[in-house]
Amino acid sequence: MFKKTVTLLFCLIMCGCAAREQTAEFFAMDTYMQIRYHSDKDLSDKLEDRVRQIEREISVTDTGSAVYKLNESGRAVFSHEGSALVDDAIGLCAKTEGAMDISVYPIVREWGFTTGEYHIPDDDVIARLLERTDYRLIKNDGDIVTVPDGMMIDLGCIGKGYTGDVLAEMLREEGVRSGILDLGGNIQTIGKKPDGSMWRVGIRSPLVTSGYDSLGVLMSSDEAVITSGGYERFFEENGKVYWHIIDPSTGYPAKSGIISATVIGGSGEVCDALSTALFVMGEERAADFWRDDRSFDMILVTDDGRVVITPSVKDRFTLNDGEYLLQVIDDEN
Amino acid sequence: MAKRMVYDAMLLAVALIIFVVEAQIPPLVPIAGVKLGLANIITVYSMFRVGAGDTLAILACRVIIGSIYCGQPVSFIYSAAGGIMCYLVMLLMKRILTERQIWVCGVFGAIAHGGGQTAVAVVMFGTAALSYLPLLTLSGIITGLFTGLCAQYVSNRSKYFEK
Amino acid sequence: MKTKTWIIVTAVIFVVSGVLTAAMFWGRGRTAEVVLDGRVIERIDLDAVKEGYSFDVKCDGGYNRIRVEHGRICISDSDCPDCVCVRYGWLSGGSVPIVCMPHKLVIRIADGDDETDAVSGRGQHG
Repeated sequence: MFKKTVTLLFCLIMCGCAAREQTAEFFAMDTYMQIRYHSDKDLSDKLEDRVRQIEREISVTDTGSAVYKLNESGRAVFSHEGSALVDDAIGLCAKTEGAMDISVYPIVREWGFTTGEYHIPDDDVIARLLERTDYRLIKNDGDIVTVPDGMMIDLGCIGKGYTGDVLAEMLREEGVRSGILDLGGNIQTIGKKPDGSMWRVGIRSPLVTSGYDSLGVLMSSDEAVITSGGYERFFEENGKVYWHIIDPSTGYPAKSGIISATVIGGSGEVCDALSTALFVMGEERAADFWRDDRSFDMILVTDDGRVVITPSVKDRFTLNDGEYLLQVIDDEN
Repeated sequence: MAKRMVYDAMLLAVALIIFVVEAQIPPLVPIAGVKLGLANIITVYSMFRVGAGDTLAILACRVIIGSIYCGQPVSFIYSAAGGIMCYLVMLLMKRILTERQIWVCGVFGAIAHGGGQTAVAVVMFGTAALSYLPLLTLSGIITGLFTGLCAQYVSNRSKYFEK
Repeated sequence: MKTKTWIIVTAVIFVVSGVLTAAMFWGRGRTAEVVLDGRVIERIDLDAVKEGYSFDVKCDGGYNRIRVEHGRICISDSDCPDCVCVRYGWLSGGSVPIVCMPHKLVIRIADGDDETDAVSGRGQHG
């Protein structure tokens, strides 16, 4: 009897496990998204539809989107989801004391980073645009968002992270226990790999010359790993490199000494925002910010060849590149 | 009867200790599925010295309790499938091997273990996983030879501690 | 059966699986997949390529010229506006694909990398 029961039990466990690796891939939000997950159902269309739905609300180029209307007319009616996202974004701008600012969009556009027609704007143009850069002037009243004349916003700095959260949640609700989402370089992991080991997430080397090699590998499970780097979009003029992450306090590309900021945490939306903000803040401010907050972990790469990490990353991060010096942030305040 | 139960329980305890200790050792080869499988020594030993039924009980308990201590639900499925295959092959081997050939049982058990794991991988990932079979067989022979010989030597000396 | 027989049987299985393993890992060519708007249009065994060659992929209102050499592949020319795909350079492994956003073209290595499952910070366009 015992033997039969045990055998039966094993058979049941084995039969219940017919989940296969599925891949959804599509182009959305100006990037290539690839989602791998283990399920007996094909959820690709559902995932893509949901991404398109979010994109229709927050795209800065889609003439039908709420953000587009807001940027055109200074006022727009958002959906509940879009409105909540605006509130989240304003909250994160405040939390980072403006190191990230969703209203910096007109300056990014002036530099040509949205169109690819790069140029260095005149100082007075930047000064004029800076006057209209202040997230505190964005008002959201019952899903009706208004901005002062001439201000424009872009939710892009949290959009992909938020989308990752939504998709990961969708997959979990569908019973998916193992998966990895790659939304144009924003990585989110669900559970562990099917073989029970942690997901191996490479952190891209920020040096343009080293191609697409990973700086190191982070073992990851159930979290978001999001990196902002100057290599994403940049141009060179007179031997100087100008990248797309603009410091909202100067209107110029952020030169904080950090060339890549990776934020690891439970919420993709927060990680997405913080990776941009920490890049702007620089090493010291970023470290202080982490000591006060501690809800996330980070991997910062500095322009003098150091990789600065938070203590709990130490055990699960392996540096590939011997040219970098690994430093752990002091835990004390 | 009670004596036999105590003996089985002791074998289970030893198997579990070996299993847990082995889990602490970093893998020699960084390939999923390839490991020494030292706990197999007990499976081979009990198959010949105690009996098929008791061995099944010991093996089942070791796999279940072992995966509670260290392992994920998924690795449990792999261990279980490997364990079942290993057990069936050993059952067969027991009938054709003499007392001096116990080590052979270790080898073929380990090969079957790899086969069981591959079968699960095929169910989960499709037939592409079959390409792992030769590698698992290869490593199974090496590790199985080792565990089989261990069981052989223990068995050869069993008259000193068995009655 | 005699112990000798068992040794021989074990040795034979050992050799056979050894040869098969070698064949699996040395003979397994890296396969590049060229994916246009979600459809795989070309599969190329990069390790089987002896002589380099180029071919064009026609996309929505444009083209990408793809260059294949032994063990590697790249987009050598494209009429897309940003040419991020050309700047990527050679792809020979890893989990970061070449992406041409404007033409919805992706080139990736099928089960290419054991090092990483994904790479964080791939870049806005690809």
